[in-house]
Amino acid sequence: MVTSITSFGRSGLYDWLIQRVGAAVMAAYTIFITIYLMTNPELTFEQWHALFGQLWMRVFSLVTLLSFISHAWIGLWAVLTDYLTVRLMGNKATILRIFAQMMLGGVAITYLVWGIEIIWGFN
Amino acid sequence: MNAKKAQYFILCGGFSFVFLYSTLYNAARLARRFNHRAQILFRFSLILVLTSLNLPAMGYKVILTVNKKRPVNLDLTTINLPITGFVSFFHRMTGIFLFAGMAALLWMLDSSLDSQESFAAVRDASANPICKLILWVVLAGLAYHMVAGIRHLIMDFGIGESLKGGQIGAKIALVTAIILIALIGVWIW
Repeated sequence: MVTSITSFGRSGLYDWLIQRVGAAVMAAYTIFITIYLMTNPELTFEQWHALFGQLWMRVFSLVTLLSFISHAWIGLWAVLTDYLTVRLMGNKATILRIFAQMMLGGVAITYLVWGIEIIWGFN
Repeated sequence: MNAKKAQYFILCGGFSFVFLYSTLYNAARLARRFNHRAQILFRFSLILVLTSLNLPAMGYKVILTVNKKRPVNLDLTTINLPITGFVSFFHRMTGIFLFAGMAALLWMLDSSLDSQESFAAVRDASANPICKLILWVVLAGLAYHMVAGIRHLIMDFGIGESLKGGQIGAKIALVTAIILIALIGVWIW
């Protein structure tokens, strides 16, 4: 078995599962927020603030954020390893791909830290 | 038939003849130890294996696959994308787009929770036509990506995996996404 790959879970099956579980969590969160906003058209700051102040909403948001990061990372890795290849780009492809992965990884970490700060940072 | 093809033909034919003979010989010896049912099963699978091995000897496939310098055509401008390909390609595109679009959504969440003033600022920004357009495009991407993703999940359960099923699924996903995107537009404006 090849284990020296740079994917998220370091195995195709594990990546597949993480991506799908994350997708289900994000779908649930999106549907929840959509229904909440539609049933509260005249939403006030107090209402919104109170919703996100509850522990279950903070946990739900955090799990969704983690799902987003892992889901996006697996997806972007798949796209990068499909198109930034030696066959398509020549010998510099690997360096280019690692560079792109590092850039996107930086963005992902920024989202993660920023997201945690938003979810847990206010009182 | 050119010379190169003929060489492969003879080579594959020769190899499979030797392979066929030795396998049959060994199989016959082994079969004596098996019961009748196992013998039938064994012979049947042997026929399958030998038939597939003989395909190259007949001058098919291997001649094509042996040539390592075969052309690979992945020039997207020359490929006529079928609807399943289009739905898949767009799923990827919206995925990449949403990774960037997440910044806008996080900014909205951050501002909406920060203070009464910033919450009002998000509300006011949502009334701006350009902001409305940006929000609509991001949410449209999200709607499409979600519908296409749900199609993936359904297919993971083994539903609609055939060529026809895939085409029907792609059409349903496309129509559903367009309806959702229109509804989001109505909701924003």
